[in-house]
Amino acid sequence: MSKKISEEELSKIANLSKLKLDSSKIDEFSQSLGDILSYISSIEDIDVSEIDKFFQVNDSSNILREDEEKKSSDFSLDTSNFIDTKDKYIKVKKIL
Amino acid sequence: MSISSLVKDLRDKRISSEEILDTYFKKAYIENKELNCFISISEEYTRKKLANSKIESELSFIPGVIKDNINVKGTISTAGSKVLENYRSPYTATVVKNLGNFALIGKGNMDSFAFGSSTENSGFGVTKNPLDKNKVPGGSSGGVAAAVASDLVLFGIGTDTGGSVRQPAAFCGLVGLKPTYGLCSRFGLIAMGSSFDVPGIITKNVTDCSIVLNSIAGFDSNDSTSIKVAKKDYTKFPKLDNVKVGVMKFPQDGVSREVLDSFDSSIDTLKKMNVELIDIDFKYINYSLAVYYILVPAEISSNMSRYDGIRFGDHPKGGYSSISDFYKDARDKFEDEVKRRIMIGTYTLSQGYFDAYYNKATQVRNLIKMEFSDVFKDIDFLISPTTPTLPFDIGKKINDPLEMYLSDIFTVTANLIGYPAISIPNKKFGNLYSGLQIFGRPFEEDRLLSLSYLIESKLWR
Repeated sequence: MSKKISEEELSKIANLSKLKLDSSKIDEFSQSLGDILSYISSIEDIDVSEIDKFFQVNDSSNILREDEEKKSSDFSLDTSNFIDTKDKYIKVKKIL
Repeated sequence: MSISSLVKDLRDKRISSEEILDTYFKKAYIENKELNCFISISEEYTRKKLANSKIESELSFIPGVIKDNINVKGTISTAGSKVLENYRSPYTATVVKNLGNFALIGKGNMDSFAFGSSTENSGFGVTKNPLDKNKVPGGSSGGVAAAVASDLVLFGIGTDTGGSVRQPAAFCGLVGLKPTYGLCSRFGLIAMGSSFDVPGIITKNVTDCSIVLNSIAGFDSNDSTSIKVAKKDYTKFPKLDNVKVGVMKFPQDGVSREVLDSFDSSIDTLKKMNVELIDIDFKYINYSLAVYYILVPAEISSNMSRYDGIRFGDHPKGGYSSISDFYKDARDKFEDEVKRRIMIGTYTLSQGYFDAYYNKATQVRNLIKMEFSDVFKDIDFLISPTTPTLPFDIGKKINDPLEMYLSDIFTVTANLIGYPAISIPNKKFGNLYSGLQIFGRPFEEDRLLSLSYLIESKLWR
């Protein structure tokens, strides 16, 4: 019932997703993505012409706080997860 | 051992807090070698935290497990992925803060980033089901369920995006509660599908579940989807009069004989309890899983963009010709299922497909929610099986992702619409159980737990 997606299509999606595609996994991913996409296409035939395109789980909106001065995130926050930092900044490798 | 019995022992001084820590950590190290239910054991953290601590609440010194995608400052939170192997939690999740001075025994193993239904997608190896070690414990909160089922802890906090608390609870013969979206704070949970995720509870019985819910529920200004509701004591099960329970009609292909048999026997139990049963034939519920696997990967692909090698993720060495190559290297440690879901989400959100998939699925999500609120005008609760089969063998579904997704067929609907749902152990087959799922009205967890407690005491165990 389902068909694989093509290799070109897969590498296009991988590129948009900022993911490397291991050549040994191409076959498996084209098959499983094909299966899943054909399964989720089952919603195609449902008539939704009258239905809202926005969804709210709890119908809440405009969650705002009073406009009062408030300390923002504390920069003494653990920076040990970053490989290199200087003052308040995270240092990254130069890309060029 | 249950929470209430250990609390009693502790208050009557039949056991000291030191003895609890000694016993439970000792067991944890031994059993974890076989079960692999903890990614890390938190002895150093917990002994330091509880030094000079006193009994303050029902959960003081009570051993618990926290799923590894929930931040606890002072521990590593990997979310089950090699990408976060060394990620030190910078702060503590609100639900964990709310638990007070409980004894954290370990961080629970899980499918990486909670993408999975068997814990086989973990970057740290599969967890075994303590009831039958050839079977999966369910997932994604499989480590949490396995730890509770093997008595290494008395309660666990997991996360439930499409059944990740209820399904492993069912597979390990336990009680698993997914509260209403907005009742318990998501602050400090590593995000998967933000409009679906909720923290959930796994315990051995309904009473323990209500004790834990009492402590984790509550408004949190750090979570803008958190809802202010009047504080309830969930351990006081309210009296239920003239209860109407809906019985979900569902297509039987793919549902195992044991599950059908066990569902029938729970219907008999309810009949004997003088509950009015009403068959409910939903029009749109069969689309729940398709809608789920469009919207959740879409939210995943956006949530996972933060793993960019700078803020989170692997730190590439440098020397790249483009930022895109840098990102691709930083994201290369993602497990296959993570890559798959990011790609599905990216596909359905991409130009040309957005209307057909994302918008359409959102509209169907609205339809399903409207149908549920209509149906719940005539019923107080709704029952269905929790899972279509009993626990499956380790390795059986891992190479067929779609087949694995189908194991969430009964659980995803509650997350689509934000309703609370619980799984309680139903009938026993050998060492294994099937689970009975009960949905309640939003923010009526007190009534849901009350009915669960009644059924628990009547069901054949």
